[in-house]
Amino acid sequence: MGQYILRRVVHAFFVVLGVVTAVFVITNLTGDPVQLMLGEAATAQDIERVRRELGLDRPLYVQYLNFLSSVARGDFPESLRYRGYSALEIVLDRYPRTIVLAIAALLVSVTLAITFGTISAVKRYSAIDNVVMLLALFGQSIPNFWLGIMLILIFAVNLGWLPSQGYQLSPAYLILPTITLASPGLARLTRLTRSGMLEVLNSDYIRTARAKGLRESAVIFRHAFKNAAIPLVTVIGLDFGVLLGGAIITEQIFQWDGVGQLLVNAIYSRDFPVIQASVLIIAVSFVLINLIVDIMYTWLDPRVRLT
Amino acid sequence: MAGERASVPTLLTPFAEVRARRSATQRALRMLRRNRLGLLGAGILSIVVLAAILAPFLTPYDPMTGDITKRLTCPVLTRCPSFMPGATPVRGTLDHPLGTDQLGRDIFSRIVYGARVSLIVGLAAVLLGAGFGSTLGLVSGYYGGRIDALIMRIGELFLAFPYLLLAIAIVAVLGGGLLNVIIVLAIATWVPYARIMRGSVLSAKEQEYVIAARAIGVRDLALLFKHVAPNCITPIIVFGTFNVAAAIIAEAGLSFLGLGVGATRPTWGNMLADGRAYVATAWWLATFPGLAIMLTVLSINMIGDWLRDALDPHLRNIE
Repeated sequence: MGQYILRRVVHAFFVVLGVVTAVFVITNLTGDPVQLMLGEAATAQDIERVRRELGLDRPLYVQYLNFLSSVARGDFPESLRYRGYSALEIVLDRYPRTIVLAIAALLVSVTLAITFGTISAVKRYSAIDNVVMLLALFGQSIPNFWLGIMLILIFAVNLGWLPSQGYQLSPAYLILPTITLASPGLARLTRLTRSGMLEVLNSDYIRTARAKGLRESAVIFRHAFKNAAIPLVTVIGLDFGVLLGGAIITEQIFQWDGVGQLLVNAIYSRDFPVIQASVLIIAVSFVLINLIVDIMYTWLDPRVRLT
Repeated sequence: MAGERASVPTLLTPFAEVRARRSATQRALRMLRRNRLGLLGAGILSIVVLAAILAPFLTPYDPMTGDITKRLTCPVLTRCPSFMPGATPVRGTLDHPLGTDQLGRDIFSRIVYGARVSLIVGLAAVLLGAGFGSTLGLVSGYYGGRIDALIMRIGELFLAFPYLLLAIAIVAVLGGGLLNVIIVLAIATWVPYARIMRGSVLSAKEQEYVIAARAIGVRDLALLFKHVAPNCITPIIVFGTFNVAAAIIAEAGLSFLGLGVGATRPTWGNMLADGRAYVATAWWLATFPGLAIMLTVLSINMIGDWLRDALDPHLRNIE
């Protein structure tokens, strides 16, 4: 088991290295980000100066090595918008807000999806199953940014129950963004829970459990659910990436000033160091979360260790 | 339900051979007649496609120019909120059935034209991404070895980025525009196609028809594209259908953030972004374009469910 985990960790290290390289490549796609950063009005001298400041006058491989070493040291260039702060500092300052939102959405979607998916599977083809599946089909098709706006329209504008936007660590401010962010994953996970449970409920060992006279609740929760949950763990890990991506739009709708909003504003104001830092932080945390999920998997499903 | 029917065997077994002779298309069409949701989806999508094609004949107004004196007119049958105290209440009329936006542009016309952008981006991004991804998957699975390892490692790297983040990062550098959005969404989605194709090829490679073709001297390229690929295409079609829906949502999301095809074309995402700003005063701005996205995406997902059940029962538990 130790060997398996070590292999996963080494693997994740190389993926992170690849992510850093990819961010470097993407930000150099145009050849010269300085023109983009400074805009049309920049004079040739300005461009020359910034280019020297950022080391962009050096050969590409030197730039790449510099980039790698500065990432490794956590020493990012200064933000162009918030002078005096390193891009990484700003991103890390905002990051907890995004994490709070993502975790809240994850908790909501996992809890509801497992509840409704299990009910749906156990009561297959009943009215409640049909309703849940129909809702899931709709949930998968509703763009969550539209759902967010509709929630604001109903609960903030018309009913006045909840604030329409802003960041504050209180349930009132958290509810609407959480629902918005959770909805696509919730729908998908509900369908997956249902099909996973159905598969398990048809298996021989469940028949055995029933045959030896176990209560139905024990069959479902102690025997069926445990095995149905295993593949869900991977999906939940992948969904966290979707949440981090989706947070970019959700934060924009609700003016929740996490990394997502920071990134979008950095794109508007061409703040390249901040764009680099936020893309990097989001992608690296996604890799780490999947590493954790992989390791959890070995504990949940011992068969994985053997392969 | 189809699964249960299949598990009542014996008597039906003699017919199995007859049934197998039907082509995949025939089977799919038969299933469509049985699958009401799939039929409904096909119906809705046909309306959207027709509307997009016939846009100039359906819309009474130019989607890009508005009449500023009629700004924020509310939809028919509703009462307009009065922006000035004491003004006489106005009701929406059939002139602008879905109302007008903050520049007095007709929302119905903009939605109909917006369908063009959504459908073009959705379809083109998927064709490009699926074509690119499946070609790489084909090569990867067929040749194996170092090429395979390289392609799969690069793919893993792409998967390390959340879909939308990757798209946003590339658009941030390349800039928006119709073509760029299509390319970006294709780049962000090629990996699953490559993986699906590679998996199918790996199992197809060992089958007799491939060995036979190679034995009579069919060249690699011909073997790949003429013999192996057509036999592995079904899961690609199913996944691609769902992906059209995802691409339409992603395009709307990019446009919503102002990183999409740009303000020179009416798009559902742009309209939503405008609507967000007026959500407290004019509810119809954001409501209708969102409904349009939802109906289109819903219809494509219904078709996807049907295709999956009809063409590829194994995929039912994936996705």
